[in-house]
Amino acid sequence: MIWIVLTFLALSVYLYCLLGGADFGVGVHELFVSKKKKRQHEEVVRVAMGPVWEANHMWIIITIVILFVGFPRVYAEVSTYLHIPITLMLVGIIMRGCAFSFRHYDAVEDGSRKYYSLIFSLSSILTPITFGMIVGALMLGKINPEGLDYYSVYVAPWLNLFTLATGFFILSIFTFIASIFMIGEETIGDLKKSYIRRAKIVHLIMIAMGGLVFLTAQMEGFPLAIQFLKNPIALTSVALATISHFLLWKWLASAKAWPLRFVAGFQLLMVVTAWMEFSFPNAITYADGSVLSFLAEAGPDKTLWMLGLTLIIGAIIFLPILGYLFFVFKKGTIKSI
Amino acid sequence: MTDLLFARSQMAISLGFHIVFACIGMTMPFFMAMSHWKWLKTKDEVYLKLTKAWAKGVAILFATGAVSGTMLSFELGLLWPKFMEHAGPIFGMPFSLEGTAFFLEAICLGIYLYGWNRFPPYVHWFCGLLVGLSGVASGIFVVAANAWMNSPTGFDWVNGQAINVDPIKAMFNDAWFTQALHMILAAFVATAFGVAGVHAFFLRKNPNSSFHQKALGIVIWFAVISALLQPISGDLSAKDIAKRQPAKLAAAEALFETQTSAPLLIGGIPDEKNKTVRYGLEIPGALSLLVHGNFKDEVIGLDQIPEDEQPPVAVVHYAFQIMVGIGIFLFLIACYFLFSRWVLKRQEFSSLLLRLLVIAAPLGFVAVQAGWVVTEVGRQPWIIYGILKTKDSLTPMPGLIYPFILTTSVYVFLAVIVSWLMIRQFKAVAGEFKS
Repeated sequence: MIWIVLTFLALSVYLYCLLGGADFGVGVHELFVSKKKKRQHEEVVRVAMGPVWEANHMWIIITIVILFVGFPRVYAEVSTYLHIPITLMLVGIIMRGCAFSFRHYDAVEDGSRKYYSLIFSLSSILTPITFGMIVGALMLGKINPEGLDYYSVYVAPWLNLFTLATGFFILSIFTFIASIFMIGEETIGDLKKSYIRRAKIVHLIMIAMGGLVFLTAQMEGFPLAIQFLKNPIALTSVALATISHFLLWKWLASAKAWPLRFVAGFQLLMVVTAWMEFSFPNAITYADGSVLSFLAEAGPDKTLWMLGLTLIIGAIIFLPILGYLFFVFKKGTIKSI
Repeated sequence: MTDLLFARSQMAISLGFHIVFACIGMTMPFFMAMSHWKWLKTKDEVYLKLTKAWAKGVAILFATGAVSGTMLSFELGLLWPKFMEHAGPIFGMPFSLEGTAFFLEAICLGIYLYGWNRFPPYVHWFCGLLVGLSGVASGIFVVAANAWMNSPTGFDWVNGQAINVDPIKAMFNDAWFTQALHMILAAFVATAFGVAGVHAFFLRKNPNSSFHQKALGIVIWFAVISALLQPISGDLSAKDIAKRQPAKLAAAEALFETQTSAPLLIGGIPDEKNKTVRYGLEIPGALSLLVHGNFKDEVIGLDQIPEDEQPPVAVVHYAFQIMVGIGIFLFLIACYFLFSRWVLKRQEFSSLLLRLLVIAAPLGFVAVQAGWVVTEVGRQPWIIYGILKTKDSLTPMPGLIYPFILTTSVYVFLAVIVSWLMIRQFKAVAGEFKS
């Protein structure tokens, strides 16, 4: 049963990155829309994200619940030593959700719109970066409960070149996924073209950021590249992600919305798989080399059984409803291909 | 202030903020669905406009509730990691069910808000109803988790570790039913009186507005029925607490000494140092009557609780008085409404009733806050009653004043904006329905 629970954990992280990530990326893109088109573009964003963003947001809650029910020690340790970036990420999550729905539903359209949009965009940047820094800190192995001062225990593990690089890598991934998502959503010709252009630019940035992750790991004394080369599954995943770049560029040229979405989703899946395969079964690597393993820290059997059953039943009920939601609201884009 | 107090304050502010939106998110979809139903049946355009106006309110407030709830699920770990480490696997069952119900709520809300003219009318309506039903379900689950903190069961506590964990037994703990019932009713009372107050306010300005008349005509019944039921549920809760958590009841009643024929205390300023109450009005034997059903039986006072296991008395007592006082006031409004409708046969809303409803608008929410102060502060110093103390579950991270300031500013900022936004909504709606 622990494997079922772990699969759901991985799945919910992946879906949050894919669906939630796309929503965050949209906020980043908004910063780069010309003043003239801004209002029109916001309307497209409203239609694209409005019906689904809350459901997309749920995946992070599912992740957290699985963690604290199934792997309470992991949850407790992560939230103790990464308190600060988690708090910052939460501020981003809460501000973004509110700004988006306030902008949506404000009865009067006036200058306040500008501020909603600004908060929406800034928090859409803050959350992915801090999320990436958390991921980076978990991998890096500088979490040090025995540290002598506040800085070394609560700041240093997550604030360094490597975690910054992972933060920006995640930000670029989310922004990339959003550009692919928006190619299909955009109804205005120029903007559609601009998203194709953006997808290409962000794609290059993303690859550069990926390289930077490996480089900064080396600088922080973390032989990520070498360990990676020794891990066949992680390596294959990254290789597949790289090969699929060709398909991506081919379809970008013809702006095929759904094939593009699938290949971008696949790339993300490969990156997430590589990350998880690389780390698993360790949730945290500490500074002294000891680890906190998912397998060793799992909750009691009975709890895992109940959790697993809830997840399975939930999936049987919800995935079709969720699919229906997406089908109803996204079939317009299917037709438009 | 100590780190512990900052952490508790941060938790209190986060919960206090969230509960307002949670209440609205749970219950307002029912008002919306009711109005929608009337529209489907009568095809009266006013009901359609009302449905859409309420749906807009639900959308704004639901989003705020959803993200502030996310914040809470993280804060439990950020502030109380030791608690979650022990409690997670035990009371996680209602949490995972809550997550599931909430997921359904989010999906249905998406379908409902954006689904006008995309679905068969009754399917669409049903999705709106499902938003409310799954909201109430998630409310019940999350209160069941809180109830477990008051009434921990489903495990054996051996050497500071929980073994033989039984998540189902933990979920159906002794407190879950009374607590969930009280909270769900409270959500209906608070939201229905809140919404009724807004429409009553506009109805006083434009007595002929059929929009506000119809709105009040729907929501008043939710307010009246829940306000009439709430004292019964409160009585169940009090009897239950007397059995399970005598310290909490003693603090709520500022009962320093164990006594037979215990009096019910109304008002009064508890003096915790000298263990006395000044200026209170005591009704002899009434507390015994409420708790045990007769004037004689003994009620346990704080003297039977070890010094270091006593909750703060004054705060709990004041909060309890506020909650009960408001509950009675709203109960009386409900009685007055039924009296004027059934006995005096008045079909329109009298000016006195409208005035009372405007006054009552924020009170239900005040009572909800006060009620949570009673249950949470009344459980102190325990985080898991009788098992783990709050201070022992605090994060080791020093400097908790900073997260406290940060989250408080975020909540104050959002509270200001949401209030401002709602006023703009009301004004816009009022402008549209002048007559």
